[in-house]
Amino acid sequence: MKILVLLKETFAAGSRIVLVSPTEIDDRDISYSINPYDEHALEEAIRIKEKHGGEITVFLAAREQAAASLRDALALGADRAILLVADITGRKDSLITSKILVDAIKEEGDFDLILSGWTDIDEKNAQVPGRLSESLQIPFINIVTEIMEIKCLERKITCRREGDGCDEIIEAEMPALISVQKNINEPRYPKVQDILEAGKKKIELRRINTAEEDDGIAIRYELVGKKRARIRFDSSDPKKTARELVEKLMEAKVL
Amino acid sequence: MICTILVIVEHKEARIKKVSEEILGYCSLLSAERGCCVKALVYGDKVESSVFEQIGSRGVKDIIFIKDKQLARHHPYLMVPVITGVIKRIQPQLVLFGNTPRGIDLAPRVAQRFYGYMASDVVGFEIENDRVSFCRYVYGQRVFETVNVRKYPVFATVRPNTISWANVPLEKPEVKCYTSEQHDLGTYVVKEVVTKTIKEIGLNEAEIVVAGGRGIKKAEDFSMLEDLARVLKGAVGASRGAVDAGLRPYSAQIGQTGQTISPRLYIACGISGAMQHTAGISAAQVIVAINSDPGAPIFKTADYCIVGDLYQIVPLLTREFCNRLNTI
Repeated sequence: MKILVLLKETFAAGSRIVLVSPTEIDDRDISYSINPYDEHALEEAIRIKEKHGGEITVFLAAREQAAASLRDALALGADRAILLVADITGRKDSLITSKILVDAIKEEGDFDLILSGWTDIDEKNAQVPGRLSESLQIPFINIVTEIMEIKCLERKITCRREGDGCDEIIEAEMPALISVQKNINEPRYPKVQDILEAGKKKIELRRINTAEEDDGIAIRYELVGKKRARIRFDSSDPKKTARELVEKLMEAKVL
Repeated sequence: MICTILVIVEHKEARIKKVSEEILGYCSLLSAERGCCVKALVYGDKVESSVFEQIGSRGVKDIIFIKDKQLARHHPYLMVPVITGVIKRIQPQLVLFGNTPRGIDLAPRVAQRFYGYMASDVVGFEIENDRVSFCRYVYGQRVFETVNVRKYPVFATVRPNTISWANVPLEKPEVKCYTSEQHDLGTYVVKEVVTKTIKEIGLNEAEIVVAGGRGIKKAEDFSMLEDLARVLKGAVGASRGAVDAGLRPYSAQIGQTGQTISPRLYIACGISGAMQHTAGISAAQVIVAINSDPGAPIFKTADYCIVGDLYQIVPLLTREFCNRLNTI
């Protein structure tokens, strides 16, 4: 089976966000890590490879310095890692990211399965997998919590996905795109031996030229500084505390 | 020029979803101010006329209803072509979905058919002469992003509980009914739909949320929070700590790798308040935190801070709310 896993870099949790200007976030002090949802996608790919055999390719569309993040993917079991570096100075949104990925996927050709996280922890757009599936014209199962069965010969994959107040069991034809939910699995940690082995594997770097057109989109940022009241209640008399809190909430018309 | 807004309306059991109500009401106010028209798209099999009346009562009278047995349950490959067809026919500049499980599944696919820009999980939007602007939170809700778009059609999913609308004049709905000519191609087959046995309000649609963290000692103790939530007509959530400890399912998780919510009132019980959790709640209007540790980080991001034993405080709060709100 030829499996592709799409990774994204995200701001590491707890990074301090600073704005250079209203249109630019200063990322000099930010540490990046692989989007946790994509780590679950990679883990799922490794399990599929362990069960059905095949080869795992990983794409990461990111900054040039992101190559380090791909080492871990190789250590965990990816066979090939490709860093797609686009020379976009300004905004990089789902439309542009999808275009970069579609072109790279079409060049590679012939994947049986494409896996990614269903969303990320920083921009929370959750659009790229849906957009990709339309551009590639392959079936897409979104927010999958369990891959139940893969029938390689019949080219069918059966998944459980999160629906609206229900679970949906979907059978799709391969090649297919699957986006995973966090609770699909527990990602493993790479073993030291694997990390050393990974150092020998090559990371391919591809530069993408994207023509910057005026697409009529302008973005402005502001830091959120919602001040909270932090009113303390002394709970030496819990009944009194409860009464006072409820009183305050009723006054504030929150209920 | 923004001439037409199309609202994709979701309905369940003869009621339109609250987020659809919010979007329709807000758009009818916008249309009165900006002179554009609003149309609603409803699809399904047997749709009660009360659904159309509810749309009319939010000020929108132009309703396009696509009726087909196959549209009774969610199926992106049947619904995306239907929505695409309607967009091609009526040519709206702005297409709005609720940020719900269906909206999240459908909107990006539809947007890509038009190579249209899409803003996800917006908390506000505005129309000016020649552009639409969207507001949303990014980076763990620490940055507020405003996006201005001048190319159409443009798409957005709207977060529940965020846009407000005042009373709008009631309209008599005019429904144009069409059938769908979609065929199930068999590349995506819904084999089974397993309805969740516990019928709860969706976390991201609830106006009041009571959540528990590692301060809850065992799973059964969550019933204390369920009682409080019931009195307040709210939903129950959990921090990652509680979910990892097996006290609550992942669907209840709130935070960076869980759900991001904007309730009117959020009551955090026994949650320490790590940044990954507060990233999911910082847009809440009022935050109450109950924790026995006076140094818990959650106290920095709460409006009302109670240092105490949640096992004492929560039942007392339930009783107090019960008395004050006259609920059973």
